[in-house]
Amino acid sequence: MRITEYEHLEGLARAGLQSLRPERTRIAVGTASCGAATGGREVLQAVRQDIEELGLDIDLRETGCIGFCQVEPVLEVRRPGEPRVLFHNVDARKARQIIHTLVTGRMPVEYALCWIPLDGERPTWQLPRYDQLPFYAKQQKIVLRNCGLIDPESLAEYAAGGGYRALWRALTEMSPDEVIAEVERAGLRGRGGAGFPTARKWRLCRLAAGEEKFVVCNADEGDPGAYMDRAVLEGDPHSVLEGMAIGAYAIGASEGYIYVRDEYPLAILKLERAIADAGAAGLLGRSIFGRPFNFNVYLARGGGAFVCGEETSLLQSIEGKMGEPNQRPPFPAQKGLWDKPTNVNNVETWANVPEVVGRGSTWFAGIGTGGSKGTKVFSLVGKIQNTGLVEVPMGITLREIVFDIGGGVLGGKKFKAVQTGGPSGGCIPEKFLDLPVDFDELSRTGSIMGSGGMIVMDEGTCMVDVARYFLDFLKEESCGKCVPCREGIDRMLEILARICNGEGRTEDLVLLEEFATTTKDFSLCGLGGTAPNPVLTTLQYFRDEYEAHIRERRCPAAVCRALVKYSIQYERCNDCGACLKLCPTGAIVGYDKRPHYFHADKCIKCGACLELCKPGAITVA
Amino acid sequence: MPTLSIDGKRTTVPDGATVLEAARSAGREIPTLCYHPELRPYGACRLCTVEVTQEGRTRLQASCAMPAEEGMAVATASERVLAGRRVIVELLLSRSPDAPRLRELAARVGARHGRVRPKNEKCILCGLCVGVCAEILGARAIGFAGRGVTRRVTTPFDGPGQECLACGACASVCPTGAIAMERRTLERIKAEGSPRYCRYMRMRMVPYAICSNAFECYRCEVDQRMVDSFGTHPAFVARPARRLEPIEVHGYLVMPERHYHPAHVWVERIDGHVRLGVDDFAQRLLGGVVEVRPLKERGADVQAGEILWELLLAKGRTARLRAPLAGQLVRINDGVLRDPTLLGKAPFSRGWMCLVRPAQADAELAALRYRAAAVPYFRVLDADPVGDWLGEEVEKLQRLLAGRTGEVLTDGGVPRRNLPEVLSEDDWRQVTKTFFGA
Repeated sequence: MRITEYEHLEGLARAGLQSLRPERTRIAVGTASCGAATGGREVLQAVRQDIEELGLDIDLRETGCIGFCQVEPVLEVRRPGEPRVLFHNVDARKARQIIHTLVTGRMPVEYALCWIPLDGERPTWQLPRYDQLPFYAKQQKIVLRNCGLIDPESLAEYAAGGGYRALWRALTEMSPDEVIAEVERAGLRGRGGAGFPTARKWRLCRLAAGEEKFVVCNADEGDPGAYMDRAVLEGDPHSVLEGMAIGAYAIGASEGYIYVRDEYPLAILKLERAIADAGAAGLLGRSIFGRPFNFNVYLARGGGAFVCGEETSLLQSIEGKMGEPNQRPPFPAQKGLWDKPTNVNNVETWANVPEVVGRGSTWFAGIGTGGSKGTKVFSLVGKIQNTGLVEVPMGITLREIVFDIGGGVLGGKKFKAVQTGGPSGGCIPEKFLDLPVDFDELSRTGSIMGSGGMIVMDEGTCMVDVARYFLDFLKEESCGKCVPCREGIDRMLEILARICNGEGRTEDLVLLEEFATTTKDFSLCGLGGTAPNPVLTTLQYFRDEYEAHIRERRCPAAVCRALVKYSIQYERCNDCGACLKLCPTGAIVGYDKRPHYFHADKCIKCGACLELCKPGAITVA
Repeated sequence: MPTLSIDGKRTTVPDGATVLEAARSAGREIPTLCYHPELRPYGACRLCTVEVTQEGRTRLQASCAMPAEEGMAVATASERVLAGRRVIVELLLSRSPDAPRLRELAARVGARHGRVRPKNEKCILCGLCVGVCAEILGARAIGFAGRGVTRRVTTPFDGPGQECLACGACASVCPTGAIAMERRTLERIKAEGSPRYCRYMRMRMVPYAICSNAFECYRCEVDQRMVDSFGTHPAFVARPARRLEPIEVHGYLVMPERHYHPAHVWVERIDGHVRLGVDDFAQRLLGGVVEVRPLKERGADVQAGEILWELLLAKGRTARLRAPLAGQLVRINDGVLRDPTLLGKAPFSRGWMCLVRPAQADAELAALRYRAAAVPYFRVLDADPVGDWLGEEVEKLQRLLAGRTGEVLTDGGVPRRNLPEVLSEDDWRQVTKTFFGA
């Protein structure tokens, strides 16, 4: 049915509510990429089989990512008149037990993590509410509002949460200029990394000469360890489509492209489905809501080049050319896709738009800090207790994210640094942990907000090695067009490798700084312009580690193989002989009931004995 | 005519000038490497980077690709600029330590040498050869492949390039001598005894010339005279028809390097296939296309002159277009089916209609480009026939529409209104019959 009246939209929302608050039990299994990777599909299979075998009247659905990676796979149960219950670390066996208990009418709370309110129902069992869990307590969900809550393949369930009402409001009550003004009042800034004010970008594009214009969604998420956009596309694809439609109306575009990397097959499937459903409902296509506004969305699949996340390269790639940046100006707003005015925003920005327009700028601007409004999604990974996708209001401190939400460093080790902004971001040391997280504060430390990767490092991380790791990534991903990026990164990597190998020279730090500054200042695009950040920030905050590598030929974190030495603490050794048998090169020598010792020149520093030794007698320094 | 300040000196430059041009006109010397006045700025070497202050913000910008704007303040030799320039030359020199051009540059900017391990690569990837081949010659025989440190200049798929004209323009612009003319292909041509077309003929500067010097141009009287009188590689003199931008002929746009069929379908040769589209003259006759209906399926065999498409126009009028050549229909452009307005919006690019594998041998097709007369239905832009033919068509149109339904043509013969809307059914049929043969 084509939706042309507000009543149609309300009818759709009612249908969605009915499936979200069903009259029969509904079970949803998280099968986004993260859930599937931990066994979500097996759980789904087991539940389906059980339902069939027992002939149960249960509505079985798949849902997106709820953000708490540590407890995947998750399974959610809704029974009429009760709040949602979230079960964690479910496997096929556990899933069966949950179903079998449900059949008896009891809620198997012993497997449950928390409950989530739905309509004000109170639970009748003892279980923490989700926001009593430290992981969720400080989060505020705007972008991820529907992820893990609705079935991403159901247009009706998206509408149930107010979906497409913002588009209705924009198209029927607002002029394009009013939409832009609303976004401007909300203070929305681009979530792709640089934080450019979204409204200003839209206005530039709206005012650009030309009849044909485009909007583009940048879903080429390439930072190692970052998966915010994937979660949105897999869990709530309609929010991106609605945002793009509103943007297209504001700018005067009638075609949109989503540039999504081909490594996200599930996201592509969900998007294709969402585009088809929205098209059939008249929410995309010709004369949307019966108004003189046409908008079509097409998918462009990226080949996995990191540089194609840079907007000019991305546009080249959509056109079928080699993904290489061009100098700006001209900006895409003046001369973009096929030389027409084009507006590029990232997934998270687009997903914010319906909330900004639907709930109003005043509400949105009330969240966050003076210069950065709203929330930001981070993927919290690394040496941290609670790995996961977290959405927090701007202005929260890094300490709150790492220690309260993240639960602190893994294994009780000491915190060393947090790396934000992916390979082009920087490492922020402990002394800045109380810094409020927003665009301007983070860039003051020499790092960037970036698209939202956040990698926590503990005392066992060598910062020289970290810089080397990121440069190694960037060397592979630099397109090679401009000299400072191509040659500069290669040379910096050469120097870092030398330092890690214990062959560092005293002049190396000067050289590194010189090359890093030139690469940052002179590169053609943002990739090169931010590539030296890991080097510059580690040099700034962890210079002593570099100096230890060079002057003392010592790796303080005992990571760089060429610089570490394994030894046995004789007083702790209990003479078990296990390391003796394990060592692949026979570097450990010893006899029964007598402490062992190392043959230093035979040791290849594989670390196997270190992991094995129960009394902890083997040390590395 | 923006006025800007270059190192404190007020300078007015013509509209569209770059900061580099402005600085040079103000007498400031900025070193460049990947810049060539005849080519589009590529912006890869970053040597010409300067500090640009605009609206209170200072940023580093490559001057070759930065348009000069009113009120800019440019610093061409600030400490930051000079320091970066030195490092860039050092990076390049350590890549190709033997290139005289780079040694000279290093001496000029004061770059240090020997702090990092030399790579001994000849090519510095400045892109001049790729640019001249694509933009000046239109041959596109070389391009970039690989990413990052593996980036290199090569022929398509590293194969023996069929597109290369052996004109030597790439070698002539190379700043490091990384490109050398090879002998193997020439030896083969000589051994085969096939016609030895002179490079000036291959560059389409002379209509016909056979080489009598075994392609050793340095022994050729003509070549030496050409080089002497131009003072540069002849390719740079053979402008501007090589630039692939539509030009206006009798009020209608014509894309160079395409063949035009009398029934107003253009043909572009791509890798042994041909792409078909509707030319600008037809677009103006048709007005706005409402729907494109392909009458042939993908994969179908098509005969020359067979009707390929039906176009639905304003007022329910239609027009039918014929296939210009025989072959197999490989692809139909989904884009125009989805959005027929593409036809009018981008007639020579995204508004293409279909891809055909021609029945004729590839070599025969390749010859079309040079031997227009051999295939009666094709006319080639390089010679004037397209101009003559379009002129005839305009006259025909004027005769046909004279006195019908008021003034519909401008003085130049371009339709002023949507013809399908203003013409009667009979008149419209007359138009389609005359110009589309259907």
